[in-house]
Amino acid sequence: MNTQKLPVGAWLVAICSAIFLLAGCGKGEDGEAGSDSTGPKRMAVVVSTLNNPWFVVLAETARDRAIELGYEATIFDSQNDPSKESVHFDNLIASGYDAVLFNCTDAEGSIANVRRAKKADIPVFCMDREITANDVAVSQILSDNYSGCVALGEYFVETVGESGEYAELLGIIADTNTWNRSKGFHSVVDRFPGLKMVAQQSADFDRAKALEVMESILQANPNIKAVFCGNDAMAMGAYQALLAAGKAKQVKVFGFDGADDVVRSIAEGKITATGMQFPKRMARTSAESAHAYINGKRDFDQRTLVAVELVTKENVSKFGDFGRK
Amino acid sequence: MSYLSSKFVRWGGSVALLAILWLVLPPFRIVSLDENGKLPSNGKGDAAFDAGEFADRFWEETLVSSMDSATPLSDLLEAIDADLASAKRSYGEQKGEGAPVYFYAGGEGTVVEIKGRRATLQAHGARVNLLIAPPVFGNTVRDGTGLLSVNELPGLEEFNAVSAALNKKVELEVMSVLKDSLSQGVKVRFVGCSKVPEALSDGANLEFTPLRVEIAE
Repeated sequence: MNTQKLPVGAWLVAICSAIFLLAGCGKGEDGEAGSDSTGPKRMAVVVSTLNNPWFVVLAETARDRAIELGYEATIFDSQNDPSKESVHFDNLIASGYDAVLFNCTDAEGSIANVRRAKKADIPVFCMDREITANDVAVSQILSDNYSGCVALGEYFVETVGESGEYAELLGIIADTNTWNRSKGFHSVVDRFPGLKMVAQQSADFDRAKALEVMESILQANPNIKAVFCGNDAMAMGAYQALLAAGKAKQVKVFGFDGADDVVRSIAEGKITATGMQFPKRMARTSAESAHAYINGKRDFDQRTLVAVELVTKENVSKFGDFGRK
Repeated sequence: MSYLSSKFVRWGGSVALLAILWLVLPPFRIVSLDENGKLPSNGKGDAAFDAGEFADRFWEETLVSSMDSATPLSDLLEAIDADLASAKRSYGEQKGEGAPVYFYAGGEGTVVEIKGRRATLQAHGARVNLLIAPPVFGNTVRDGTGLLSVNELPGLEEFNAVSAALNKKVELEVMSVLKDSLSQGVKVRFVGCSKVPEALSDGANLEFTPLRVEIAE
């Protein structure tokens, strides 16, 4: 018998389509979360990036708490790419997840994804990063970045002094955390006219980019006394650049996050200060909120702020493992 | 000739149609970036949010009427003297786990020292500091009374902008009253908020940011 073989690509398309359709079968026509069959309910943890230890802790704690509460949980890494995040939402909606614990890539761009999930009756709980809409996520557990950076700003003035040149490394421009941190810091530092910001550039919360940006800032501004970085990954990148330039002792580095390597560096006198966020607390609270929602609770505050604590050489012994010891 | 004119009509019509489509359904929109180089908000109604106006309204409609019911300073200091932790539980304002605790209190005290931006007052057998000159930093004014929630604002940026506006109001409208009128021995009456430290050891005083202050008779 003469048979005709289908090309490999066609088979792949057919198999993928079948998987996609089968995955969507768990969802009822009325959009009700579809894990009410025999298996355990499922939570998706969608995180902006796993290329930063702080977000790894956030995502893994959320996943682990969900598992403790009796769910199956899967982490989706958006790799700081809104289009990848969008694909993750396509998949988790089609797969009928029961809740999403969400750390967004873009405060405004990510709203559409949350809206699609809401339309499919999948509740979304934002962690750490805000989306700038009040009617799509069930709740948002957010760091009080502004207050944390006010405290950092005050310590900056105390340690750097009331005059001199400094630089600022901003995070991702589309993330409201970037601006809440920067504004909190400047609400203090800008009141001292002797402190002059000679460079302000984005390094996208990324260590390698921060190293490059800091190198170029140092070439143009050799007299800076300090650098304020919008997160700890950038603080470590900036410190590496300063070390390579032989200026690690001359320039004070301030970070934000409370990452373990920076807390250790504060103890060793390499970094001056950071703001300790509490990723584990935010992740656990988000998972517990999702669990409460699935069990019928509906009265959630849209936003809940989690305090940030200043970490300096004076109190660094109290901190570690992404929180208070 | 007719061929040319019909060709002209076709081309002209197409161009006109495209122009109309371009005007009615533009493929892009030009918007101004804000002071941070960021795109303005996406239509959730906060583009026109005026933090100063919100702060004025909050001050007049909510804060002023609450001042007479702030914790009496004498009660607060007595409670702190007994035990700071239980004073926090009884009189503190706190929003959520790990958040700072604030006291919202009012009373009288006598100036015993003025140092920089601070006056130290002797009050009910204890000493408290009163911030008497700019700058005012942080969220003590916004959060200290417990009367304003982040969920009353469109988002965090707006919430933080309100904090800055309230601080400015204290600097311009409250502290200015004190200009050159304070000296040792002067008695002042105030209502204010204080961010509570973890401990009050080594002679540290509570520090109040005033919401209302006047020289007592």
